[in-house]
Amino acid sequence: MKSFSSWRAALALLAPVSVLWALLLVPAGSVNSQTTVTGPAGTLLIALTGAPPTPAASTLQGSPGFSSLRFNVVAVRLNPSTDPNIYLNQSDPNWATVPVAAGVGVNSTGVVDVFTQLETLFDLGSGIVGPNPGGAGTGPSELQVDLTQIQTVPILFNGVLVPANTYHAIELVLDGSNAGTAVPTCLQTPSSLLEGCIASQISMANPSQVLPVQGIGSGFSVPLNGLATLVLSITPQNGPLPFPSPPTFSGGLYQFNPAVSMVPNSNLLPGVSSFLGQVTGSALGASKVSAELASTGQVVAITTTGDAQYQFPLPASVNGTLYDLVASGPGSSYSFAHNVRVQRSTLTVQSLNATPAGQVSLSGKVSDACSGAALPGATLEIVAPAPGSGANCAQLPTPAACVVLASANTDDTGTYPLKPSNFVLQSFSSVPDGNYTIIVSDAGYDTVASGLSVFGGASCSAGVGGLCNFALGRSTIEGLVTLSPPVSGSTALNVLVTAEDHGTHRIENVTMTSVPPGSSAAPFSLTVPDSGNVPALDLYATVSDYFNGLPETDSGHTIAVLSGVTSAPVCGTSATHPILSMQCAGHGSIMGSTATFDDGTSIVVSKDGVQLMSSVVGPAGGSAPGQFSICAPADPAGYQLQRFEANPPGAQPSPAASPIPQAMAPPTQVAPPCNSICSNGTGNCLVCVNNPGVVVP
Amino acid sequence: MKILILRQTAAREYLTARLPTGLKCALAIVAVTCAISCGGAFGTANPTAPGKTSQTQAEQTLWVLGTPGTPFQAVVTDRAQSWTFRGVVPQSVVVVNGSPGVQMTVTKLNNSGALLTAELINGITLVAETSTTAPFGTTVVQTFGGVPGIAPKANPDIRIFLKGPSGGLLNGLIEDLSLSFVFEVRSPSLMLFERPDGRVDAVINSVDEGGVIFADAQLNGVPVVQESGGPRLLIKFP
Repeated sequence: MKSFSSWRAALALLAPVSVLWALLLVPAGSVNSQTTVTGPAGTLLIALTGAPPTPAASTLQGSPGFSSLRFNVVAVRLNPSTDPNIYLNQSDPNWATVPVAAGVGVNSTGVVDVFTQLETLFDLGSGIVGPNPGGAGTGPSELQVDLTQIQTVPILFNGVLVPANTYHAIELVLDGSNAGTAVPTCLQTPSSLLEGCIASQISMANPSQVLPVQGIGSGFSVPLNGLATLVLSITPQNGPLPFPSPPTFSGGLYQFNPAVSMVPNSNLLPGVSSFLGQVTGSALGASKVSAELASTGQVVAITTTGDAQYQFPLPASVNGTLYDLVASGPGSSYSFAHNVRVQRSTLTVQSLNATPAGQVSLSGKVSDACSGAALPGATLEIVAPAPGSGANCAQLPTPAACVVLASANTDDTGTYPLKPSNFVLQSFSSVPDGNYTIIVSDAGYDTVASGLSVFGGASCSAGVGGLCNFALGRSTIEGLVTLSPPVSGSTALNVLVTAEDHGTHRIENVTMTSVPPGSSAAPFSLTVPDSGNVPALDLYATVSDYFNGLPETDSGHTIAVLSGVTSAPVCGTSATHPILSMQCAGHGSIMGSTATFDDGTSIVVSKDGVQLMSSVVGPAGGSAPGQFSICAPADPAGYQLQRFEANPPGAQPSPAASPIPQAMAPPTQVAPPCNSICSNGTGNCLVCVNNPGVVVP
Repeated sequence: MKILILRQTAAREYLTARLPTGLKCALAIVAVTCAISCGGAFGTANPTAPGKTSQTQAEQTLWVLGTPGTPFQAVVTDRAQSWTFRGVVPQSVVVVNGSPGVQMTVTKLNNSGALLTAELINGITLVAETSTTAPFGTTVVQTFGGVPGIAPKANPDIRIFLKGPSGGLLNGLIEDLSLSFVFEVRSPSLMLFERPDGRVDAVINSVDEGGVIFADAQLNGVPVVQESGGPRLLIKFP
């Protein structure tokens, strides 16, 4: 896999969702589809932020914290009316609707009852096509946001044209039937009926599901032909009601009564929210500009240019966020900049002027070098060294100073680029003349870095026959997973086996195997890079336990680890046949803090030197500064906790202090009837116990 | 052929009386395609023509959404068969002739913090939604009650990849020798055919985006047919 992917850095920053703004319009239709603008308009860019409840603020919450708190956002709507009752009139034609960004969700363009139409066309007879309602197959579009993730940096929601106006009513629309999911830590007081570290659905306390935005003041203006930014902050606790109001039993609904407020605009940067920074400059020859998290290729936003100028409001952490900017256009070269630091309430000027250049369309195939089979879902990236860096982008792992200029994926036949796609921004269909490096990667395979020469045609130095077709090598690890006690009940348990580079959390591949009811073991086969590329791997296995019939992200089984497993030569099978053994231990959680932190801080959980998971810490000034909450099985062997830092934020995280041991309190055993994640054979239920007050240096 | 003529008449009347102009054009093409293909894809070549059998349950659509371009691996299973495939966000999946109950386990295949969301939609109702931003994070959606485990791999494994304009609405009819199914999906989409009876064919229509539709059919992992065209497309195999 591509080695400079900064996994924890991305977690600490934001989940990029590739918002295209000032680009797209779709027809109006249902209440949550985007408004069609026919009159004077301006561009509105919306971002979301928020904060989870303050840990242990109230025992009424039932749990002292949350390892995740996700809300399903459908749309943001704005209305110019000054009538305070306008929220009661959702069909008012003056509501302007901003739906989820295209690709992230699927914009509903209105209900089309094709089933009835086809039924008639094909003379199928009434009801013969089954109980399909109009619009079946389209479904709602939603963006699921985790408050624990977006508290550091806002996440972009969408950017669209809306009528130029001053809006006095703004509302956040959540999915009324499925508002989100809460995963609490273990409860303050263990309960036989209410387990911690279990995902529960969130329901809306307000049955209308309309969440009016507070703090609009004298109105929010979208200027004619201009740009406005709107950052909404979600606070789950509204007034005296505790949040979330816990259910009385596991599987019940958490009651949600949130407050949503508008983050005020910056005094230093008029028209831009104080949680954002802005980049602008000239972009001669370019038609669009993309902003990527620095050194990752992960596109956060794209904008079009006008009068050879671009402007980018971008999310920024308190200490600033690093971006790579890439400009492209028909008949022009790429123009790009590396490590552009975007700081809140600050204007940054960055020129991205291109020169005239010929362009070619680049396509080809990616296959398995051992079997010849096509590889669907492989990733191809065209990279070049940042100006002045002198970086050798053909070297693996790829230096951080290499900028991703364009990316593509293979389809089900192993052919790239995917066709046709509206969502790929720097297209392989128009690669400018020049010399580049193309990096080809796929999970479980050797990464290939090839020279790419584009002058009237394209050739790839590491391609098959010099063409830009690639064959990726790999090897195989075969082993066994075991469970103790055997799987009870009638539902099989799925086990995920993960391989990562030895001593790192750079994951190479994952495979799933299934242990049938009554059994205690299942074989697995995992494709990994060969020994010439990754000589040693760490393996770990986790069970996808069920709770009340629902699969749970957090396991009640211990996590099996095996360090330093040697891989095989290309196309071979490892001589090591690892056995990964897991026992039912019940849930546990760890809550604590670190005194030394910034936006690039994360806490990493390891076992026997194998890195398993990590958590960001709350930002300074937030509801939980420097604090973290992690759900982990109550493993009697315990874990190691270690602080990692990405400095500057966005860079590859590295250990910043020595690890400390963390013992896990054993779960409380209660007699049935009760719910439990797994059975230890005693007949009692294992109830999650919290491990609070941990201080990580 | 008499039956066919009646169908065409009904379709013409419906188009004239009820539908907006743009949709009339699109659906007229479907009707014409049907007329052309009867005796081929639909109708006389099959012992059972469309309309003789019913679609017994509402369409269930599985979505893999999030950061566009994020690679993933998915395992889709119901109580009878299962399928494993790799793809790229966004991707919709429909099980044709599926057994009650469905589960999809999706794993992100890179080390990024990209968003990966799995959705299960029954008709137009979102039944379940889960997300992950973790590197190689896994997320699961399932119908109420779930499934007892991962069912045996589909055999024969017939799947059709539909690649129209991204996000474009596609509809059509897919059938084997026994059953016919009307579907509606947003592109790109993967149709998984459970326990197909003999040959499979489909007519696909681009409703709102126009443009070219690409359809690849695979049998047990081997590409067997590749077709392209638009705004409607016919694919049949073996």
